[in-house]
Amino acid sequence: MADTIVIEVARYSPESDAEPRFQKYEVPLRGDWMVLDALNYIKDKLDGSLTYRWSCRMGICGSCGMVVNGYERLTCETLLAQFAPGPVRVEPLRHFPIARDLVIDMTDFLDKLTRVKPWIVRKDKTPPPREYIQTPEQLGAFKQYSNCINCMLCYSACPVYGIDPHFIGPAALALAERYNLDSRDQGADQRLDILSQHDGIWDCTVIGECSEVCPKEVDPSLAIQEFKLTATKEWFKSFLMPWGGK
Amino acid sequence: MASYSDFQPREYHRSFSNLWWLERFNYLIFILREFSSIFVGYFLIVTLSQVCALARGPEAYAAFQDWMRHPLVILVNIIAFAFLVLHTVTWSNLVPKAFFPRSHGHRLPEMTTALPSYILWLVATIVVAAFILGA
Repeated sequence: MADTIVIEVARYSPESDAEPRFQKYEVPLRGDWMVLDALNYIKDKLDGSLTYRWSCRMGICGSCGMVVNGYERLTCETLLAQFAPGPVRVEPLRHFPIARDLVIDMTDFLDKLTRVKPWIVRKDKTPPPREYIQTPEQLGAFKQYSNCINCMLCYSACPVYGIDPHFIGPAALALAERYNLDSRDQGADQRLDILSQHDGIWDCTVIGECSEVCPKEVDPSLAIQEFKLTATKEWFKSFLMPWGGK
Repeated sequence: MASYSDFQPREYHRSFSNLWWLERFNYLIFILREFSSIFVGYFLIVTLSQVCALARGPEAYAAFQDWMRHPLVILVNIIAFAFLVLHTVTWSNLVPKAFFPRSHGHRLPEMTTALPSYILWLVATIVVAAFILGA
């Protein structure tokens, strides 16, 4: 195995660049290094101006999601050596505006996340006298979706979001379903009005790449299809029993 | 695009390529899956034409058979058949993506929902084959 590997990093400086460009760096090829370690090496030893997000280095914070050799990955979990002899191409997540180098503007995602009310909604505003009790089965119904770390890899892999930026998107929809399936939550009716719009679940064409790239096996595609079934049942109920209310 | 300032940085908005479906194998399969619906419609029209020809009598049915023997129609049918197989396989594989039964909070294997589609396909194929070969 060679001692070094070339990394091509997408660079964009809003002050001087009209569009992103690639810059090559030669970094040591160590068997235990992740791609993030290589970026940190560049930042520390070669070029202090390189800008990117990272934090925990253990696949929890969701900050270091990037496109590595064409596929969305958490760079802290992606072994550098698997790309030997290289080069390795590192780009910012797709579909989002680039603020600088590998940093994207996530404002749109945060707005959409807020719209789906990813928190427990209770009709009774009075705090409960004790914690809500859940059975293992009730927990199991939504636990998979609660693993989402908001890394946005699924948005980057979703062509629908690239074509239609109004699409609420995989992670926000998965988190909405996570709370809908939570036995403590009473906000499904409020979310239904948001999610069943055209920009919500019905924009999804079941490409499934969001679930393929998810580093936490959340399976947003399944969440969206499950919610389509729920929305369809609710529509039939309201059609057949218009007096029934929600 | 906003001009650059200390409080409103200039961001770069990337364009979206019309050839995005060539970028990944999964995207390509998705497009082919959607495209295969055209051939499902084609086979529906062919089958309806066959039934209509049968209803009009032996001469009309013989003309229909002659039309089906045309090399160009055979070529189209071979392509259409390949797309129909793709259509059936991809949509059967999508069933677990849309419906995932759980048992005691745990997801059951994908095959529990995909298998019935394949069994149904096999049974339908056997019934149709028995009907055609037995006729």
